[in-house]
Amino acid sequence: MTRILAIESSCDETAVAITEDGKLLANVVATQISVHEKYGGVMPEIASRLHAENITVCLTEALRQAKCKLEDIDAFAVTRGPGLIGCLHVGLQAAKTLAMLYKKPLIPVHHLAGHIYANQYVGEFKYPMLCVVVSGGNTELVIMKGELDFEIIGETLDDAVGECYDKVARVLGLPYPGGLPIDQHAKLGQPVYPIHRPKMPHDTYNFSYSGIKTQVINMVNTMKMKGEVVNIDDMACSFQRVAVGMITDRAMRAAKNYGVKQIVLAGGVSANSYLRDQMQKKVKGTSIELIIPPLWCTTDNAAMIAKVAEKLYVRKVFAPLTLGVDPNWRLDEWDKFE
Amino acid sequence: MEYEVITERKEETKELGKRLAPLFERGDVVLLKGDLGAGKTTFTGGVAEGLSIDEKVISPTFNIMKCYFKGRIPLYHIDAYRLENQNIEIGLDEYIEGDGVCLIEWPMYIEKLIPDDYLEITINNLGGDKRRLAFEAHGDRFDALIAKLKEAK
Amino acid sequence: MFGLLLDSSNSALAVGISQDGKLLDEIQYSANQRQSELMVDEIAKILEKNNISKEDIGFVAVTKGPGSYTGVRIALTIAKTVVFALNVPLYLVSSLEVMKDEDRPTICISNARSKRSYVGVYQGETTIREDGIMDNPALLEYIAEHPDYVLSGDLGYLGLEGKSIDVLTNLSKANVERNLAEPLGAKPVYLKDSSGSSTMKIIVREMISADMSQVMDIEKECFPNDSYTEEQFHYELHENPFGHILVATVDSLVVGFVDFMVTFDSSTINQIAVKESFRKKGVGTRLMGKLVEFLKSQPDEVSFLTLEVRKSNTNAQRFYKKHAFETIQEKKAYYNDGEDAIYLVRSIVND
Repeated sequence: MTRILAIESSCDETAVAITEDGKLLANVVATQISVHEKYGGVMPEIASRLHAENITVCLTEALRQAKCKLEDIDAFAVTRGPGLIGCLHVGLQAAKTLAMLYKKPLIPVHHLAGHIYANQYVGEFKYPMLCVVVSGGNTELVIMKGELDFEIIGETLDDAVGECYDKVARVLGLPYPGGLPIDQHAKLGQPVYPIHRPKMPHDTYNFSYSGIKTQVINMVNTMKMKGEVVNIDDMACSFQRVAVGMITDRAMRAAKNYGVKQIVLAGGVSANSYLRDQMQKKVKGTSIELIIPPLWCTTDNAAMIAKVAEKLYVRKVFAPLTLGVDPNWRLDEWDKFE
Repeated sequence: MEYEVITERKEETKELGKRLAPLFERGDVVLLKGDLGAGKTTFTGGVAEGLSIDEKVISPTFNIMKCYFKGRIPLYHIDAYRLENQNIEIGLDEYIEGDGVCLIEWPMYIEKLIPDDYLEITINNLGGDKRRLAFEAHGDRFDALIAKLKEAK
Repeated sequence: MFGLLLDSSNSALAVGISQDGKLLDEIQYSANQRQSELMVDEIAKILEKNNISKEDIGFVAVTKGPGSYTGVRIALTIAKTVVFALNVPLYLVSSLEVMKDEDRPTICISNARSKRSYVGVYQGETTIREDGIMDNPALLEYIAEHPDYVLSGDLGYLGLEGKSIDVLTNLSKANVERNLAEPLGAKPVYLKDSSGSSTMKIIVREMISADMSQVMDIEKECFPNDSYTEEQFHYELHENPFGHILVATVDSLVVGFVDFMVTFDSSTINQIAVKESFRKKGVGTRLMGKLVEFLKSQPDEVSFLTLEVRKSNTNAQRFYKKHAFETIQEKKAYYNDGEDAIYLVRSIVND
């Protein structure tokens, strides 16, 4: 029997989970969204402070839910990156301290590997597989040919898609985070505003969102100056078609070219209903299976970190107590932590 | 001291950043001015390359600051855009007066945290991919740096 | 029983073991932003070297700031995790106080950057000057005025030399009642944000749903007899096409709001309220300023801003007069309880 305690603090959620042989015994998430809402985005220093305040509260609650003691834990896992540097530090200190005191292995986990493996709470992986990783800080297409075998075939050249949603929401006067409000308004609108995709090579799997964001900002400002009213529903719809269209097109092209059996969605933006619908429509009639994570897995949590840690525990991927964080850790270098 | 360069293509803007990078020392502060889409992040990408950082430089707006530790000296890339009218005491000064070179976009929002000596680079969009980069030194250290940049041409 | 002593509030990394108020062993060096990597490992080493198991740790004493934000959090997070795991007491001490001399009055200083310093003055158990933030010129003046005080800290940035004092020796005596902390809620002292009302940063912005509970608290405090309900606020916020609410915040806490309507060329203030503890600090003025700015930026020109105020509320009337409102008429028995209202109007000129 293996019990793993995992800590996640890479962005704006302080989270602790405990698993026993793959079964989730505790899953505690202290979200900070209402705090960051006021800033129109995550404030890294504020987030770090809240992690430092909440961390032992979350640990206490997780042990209570799991009805176990720290002595019963076989390994301590933690998100080492990517993420906000000050935030990562807090989770890392807690995990290292526990590993040191109880003389148990310390397992460094890649945050995006966590988002991908969250899908194992709903289905088994079949390789080769395409992972569509879309969140506030990341936009990546990843091919997996086996367990923990990640190849990044496309990524954003500037802004992440979630970041772009947040910025567009701000311009339209919608709350933070922008994903859900834009998704909801888009359902009521028509794609009448001419938002264009960035000019990129036809065969690329890379993304670019900075130009789309600039187009929306310019269009809204011009209309305001002319005294025209911006129809928020229509603008949200026009924007979302392009933003999500870029993802689904590249994903389907990659799926075909790499002959994948499965596509999994991962990350915060995978909660987007339009993206989910579009992907479902595109795989219909093909042999490709689509796994969509349950909504609780689309936001940051530690259950997904524990899921990866189980695999790493078997492979004995353990880190020394001198482990540091890496805010830019690459997914294909998940086993390199110096 | 002032200095001006016109670049015709994105790659040239990046190349200029790359050429500037070897001249930076720990504690240097660079203000990057220019509109949305002027190429501030592209330029920073060049600086990163010149510091032998092989990570991809992307917009720091979401994170406010991105850190790159794997080069000759650390590179701190700050975007203060979201700090307009906010409490700016969020620990950025630890990096601005820190052990690396610090590039700051939208510095007007954190004016209080900017030291006396800095290099100011203003990027103007001249249409298409054509850009004008104007360098302005504040303090002896950056006068010397611009002089070296001119020589290195 | 042993004490585990930790400090990483500035560039140094310090880990110590104490026994009966004496420092038994220590590891100290300049770790410049590498405390996150090194500190836990150093704790492991010092425990092993002294053959101390976790059951032998009787308490943890740690510095709580002010200092480097990240640095302070690292030692404090480790300390909180240790006391959580071992269920032992946690003692928090000021990062400045641990720099004090044994018995002489000491000005304890660290670099707060942007030409400022963290300063606290201590003598033995007595605090002569509470920890605070000072501009460097003011600090130099203070130092000159107190030539008999010891200077402590790494003062190269001020062109001065400070006495170097072993923080761990001070921390080893920190397990006293007054430093005892509630471990779950323990948090660092950051100082720069709470630097007094003179520099209090007021931000006015449009209200969002998440502000509701705070706005309701202020509503009940300011209008105990005829407060709006949450449903009414919800209507103003989300449904009434003419309704607007601006909130004033300080350190992301809502401290006041103005609820108003814009109907074509005129506008009306329904309520303006400021939390008791934040009155007379310019919050109302900022709300009014932003409101006028808002009205001037409307696509259709707004000419007038009107409101009613209770006749007995002379404070409020003074406030409005200051903001260019003029009395137009008295409305007899306007309020439910029969009190008269003063009807005030101010013109909004688009400049």
